[in-house]
Amino acid sequence: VDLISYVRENAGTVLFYGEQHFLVVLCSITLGSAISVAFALLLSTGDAAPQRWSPNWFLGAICEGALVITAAALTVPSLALLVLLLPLFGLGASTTVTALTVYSLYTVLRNSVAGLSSVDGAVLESAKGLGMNRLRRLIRIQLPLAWPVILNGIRVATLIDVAIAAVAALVRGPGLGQLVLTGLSRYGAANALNQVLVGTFGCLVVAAVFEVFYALIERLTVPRGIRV
Amino acid sequence: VSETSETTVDPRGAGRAFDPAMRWPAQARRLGWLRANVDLLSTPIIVLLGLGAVGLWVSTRTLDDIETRALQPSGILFDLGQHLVLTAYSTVVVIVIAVPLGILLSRRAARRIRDVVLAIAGFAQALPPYGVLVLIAFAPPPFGFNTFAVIVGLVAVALLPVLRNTVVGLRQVDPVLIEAARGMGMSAWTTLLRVELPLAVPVMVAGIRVALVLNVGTAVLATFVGGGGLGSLIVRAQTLNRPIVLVTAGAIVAALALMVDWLAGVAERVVRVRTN
Repeated sequence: VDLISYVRENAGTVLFYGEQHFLVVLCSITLGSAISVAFALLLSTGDAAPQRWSPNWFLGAICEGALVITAAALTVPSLALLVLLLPLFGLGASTTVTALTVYSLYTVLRNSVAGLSSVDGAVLESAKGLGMNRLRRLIRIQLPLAWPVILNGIRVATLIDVAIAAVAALVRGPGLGQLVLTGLSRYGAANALNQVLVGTFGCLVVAAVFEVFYALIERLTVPRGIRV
Repeated sequence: VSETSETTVDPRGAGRAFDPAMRWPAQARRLGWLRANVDLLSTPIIVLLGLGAVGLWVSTRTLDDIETRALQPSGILFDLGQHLVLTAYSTVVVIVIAVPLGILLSRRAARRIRDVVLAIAGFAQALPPYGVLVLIAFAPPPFGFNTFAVIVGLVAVALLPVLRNTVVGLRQVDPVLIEAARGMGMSAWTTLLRVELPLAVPVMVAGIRVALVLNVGTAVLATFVGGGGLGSLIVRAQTLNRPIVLVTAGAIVAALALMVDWLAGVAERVVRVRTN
């Protein structure tokens, strides 16, 4: 059976796995982004100091430490991290979501730190002059200005997670990896190749859906004044 | 001058937030090398702590027959050897293809293609290495469930990211320097050989690092398409369903990846300091 008729005949199954893949990545990215952005915001002081992450060296050290550790986590091969998490979370979705969340941390955190600390000191100074307190400066000025950079980090982290999510099938995780796994175990049988093809390139389709999703979010959330 | 070289040594290096070098220049010079490279200590510390914790756990427990056999050093060393061979071959091939191609793409004439390639390379990050390896193993001979197909798969996975890195890095060579070289009467070819390439050496070493890290990670999946490597250790552990074997296997693979990345990072640092 050729690829097109395979997809047509099994549209339900393919869509189901695609949807699972999308949702598991969405969950992990939401979690990972929330953690990273919150962490960056907490460590940011909103002080009018350009080129300077935090006037407090202790906070700066924590931030550098977090970057080093999350970067190290990104270096760990996906299968190794998944089996390291197995004794804690067991087979299935919870291990998958945890691993994908860990993999998304570095990219989002790095971009959040870069975005928040690149906000012009003069802008923050004038916000201070307008009588805004630290929290308001952070929420009303710094975050919106840094948002395009943060969103781009989230976008790249999503691409990485979409690819890694396929490996999660090896620990009974949800998603398109299941199709690759089934195809591999049925090597030589009818449709085995089609299953692997759909499992592999389906990830690109999921990534494309995410790209559209992020384009929409960008359109809706980036302030009009700083749109490119 | 020392201030700028300090900050360019490592973009996310320690001490950027708080810079005592401004206040105590003499001490800073003496401590400069140490301070600029102190972040290199973090990976070995993480690895040693992790492996130490796992080793401690294993040593405090009496292993049964199955666990002892699964954790035999000879078996692990065999897998490790296979893993390193796969990684080495594929990294060499990736570098041989990607660096010349990256140089070609960074030429002004290739402007149009460059943007297309960069866009594709960016999006291709979403292509799962697992699926790519299996697809190449499914291809007709000489591909199949053999080492050759695995290496081709590893190359296919790492090629675009390394290419992207090389192109982006080469584009960062200061155009003023190129213009100055041309103004001194160098031909485009001489400029490339004597100015651009020497300045781009750190970029290429960075590319080797990216290739190494990607290949070490993807080679873990080689066992599913008959390539062996440390993935076999993980699969054995999974089949046995013993947490202690599983965690040991995962820790060894993770430690290998981190140390390979670290060694390449040290090489990158050395080369960058030399070029500066």
